[in-house]
Amino acid sequence: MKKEVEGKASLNAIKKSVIQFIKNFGADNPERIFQEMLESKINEGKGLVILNEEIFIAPEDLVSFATLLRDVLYLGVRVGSFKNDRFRCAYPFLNELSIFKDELNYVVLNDKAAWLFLCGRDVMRRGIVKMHTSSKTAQLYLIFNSTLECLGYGRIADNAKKDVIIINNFDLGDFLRRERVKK
Amino acid sequence: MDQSFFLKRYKSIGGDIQDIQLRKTLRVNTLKISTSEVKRRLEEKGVSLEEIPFVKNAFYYESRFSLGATPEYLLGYYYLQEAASMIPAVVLNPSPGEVVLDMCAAPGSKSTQLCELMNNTGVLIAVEKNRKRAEALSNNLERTGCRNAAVLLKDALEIEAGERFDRILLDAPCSGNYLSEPNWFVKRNIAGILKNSEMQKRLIEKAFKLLKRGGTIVYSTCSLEPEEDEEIVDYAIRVLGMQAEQTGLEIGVQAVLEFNGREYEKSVSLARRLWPHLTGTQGFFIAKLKKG
Repeated sequence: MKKEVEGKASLNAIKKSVIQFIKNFGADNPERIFQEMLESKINEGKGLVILNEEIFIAPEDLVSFATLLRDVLYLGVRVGSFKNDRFRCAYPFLNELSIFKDELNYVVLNDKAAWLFLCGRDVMRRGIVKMHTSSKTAQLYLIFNSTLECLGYGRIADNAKKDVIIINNFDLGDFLRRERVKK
Repeated sequence: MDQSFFLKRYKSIGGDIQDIQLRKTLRVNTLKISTSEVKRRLEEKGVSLEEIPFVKNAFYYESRFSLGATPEYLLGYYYLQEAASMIPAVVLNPSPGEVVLDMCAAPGSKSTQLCELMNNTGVLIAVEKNRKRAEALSNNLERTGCRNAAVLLKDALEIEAGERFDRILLDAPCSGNYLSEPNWFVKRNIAGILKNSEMQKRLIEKAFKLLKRGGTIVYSTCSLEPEEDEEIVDYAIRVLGMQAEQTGLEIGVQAVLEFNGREYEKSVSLARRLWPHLTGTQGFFIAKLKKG
């Protein structure tokens, strides 16, 4: 089998890319958020593991056990993927990031807009209940429903598209779509 | 085979089966949310829920829309899982911090349930040999917020040797039952059942070798055929030297001790057989075994 747990290689490149990703949400201090989200866990005995292009964080005992048994496809918590020096987050990462929402750009959607967003649609101005902008130069916004559950994230749209205000970059409906694509 | 062949077999072991309509069921994922909160949210959407008496945090439901595409489903607040298949993980009863193996794990209903029972601590190794199914398993672990699991893409028979696991769930690939797919009776025959039986013996032998002394295996299938159920437990007791234990279940009836002129070891009867017409679930078999 080709896949093996590769250890902690490329940590610096991943760190740089993840910090930039967090910064794109308007964080003043993305390094601190990164530290609280990932680095502190690594220091507590969890390992950052790369399986091909997928990044996971997992307790050391799980990593050791899985490594011993080989042919690992998935372990612990999926953080995202890292390809061509670009980080793409997975939902568990985004959900943890949402804890820091007060320091980031985010919008809260009404029920209809939230549902449409989960179906892969962009966010229209009329669907927004609250818009919190931490930094106007940052492009990314976390998307929440009315009960403040993180549904995904999007990128602020160009002015040309007046009705669409946020382009859907990633939403929870991905769990369903990725299985449909694979069938 | 024709239907009458199977009906005669079942009748000979006390299963005078009737056709039933399976009820839709879900299990709340308490790693992410409380049962009362899921109940409140789904009822608010017009879903009617009724507690399943033999499994905690699980409901029969009726809904005019699919519960497989709600925000609550996507957020991992519940898992759509048939009622009988919720039982093996409960019988295995893993403790937080233990090392547990789910040998044939996809698509992940039982693996996610095990993570929940382990409160996301210890180690769960979930094994699946088919890539697409292993990816579905990974997605379900991710959706439900499991943090203590690893998915291995490999045949369970090829897991590296060593007595490593405190508990093992072997929900074995099997012939299924007449409620599991349309025209089941026509599609199945004895040759296929015997082939499965041989493979199940290899799997339980492998599980035995991977289990620590004093450890527990739960063996289950959704087959009603004694060759895939009681015969495998009998093999584990007589050939491998395992001991059958009480499952603690009230649902179902005790396993049979004789079939087709063959007598099984007495303690095989500690296993439980779920006849659909008696339990309202799909056909199922569950045994709990200990390695001395």
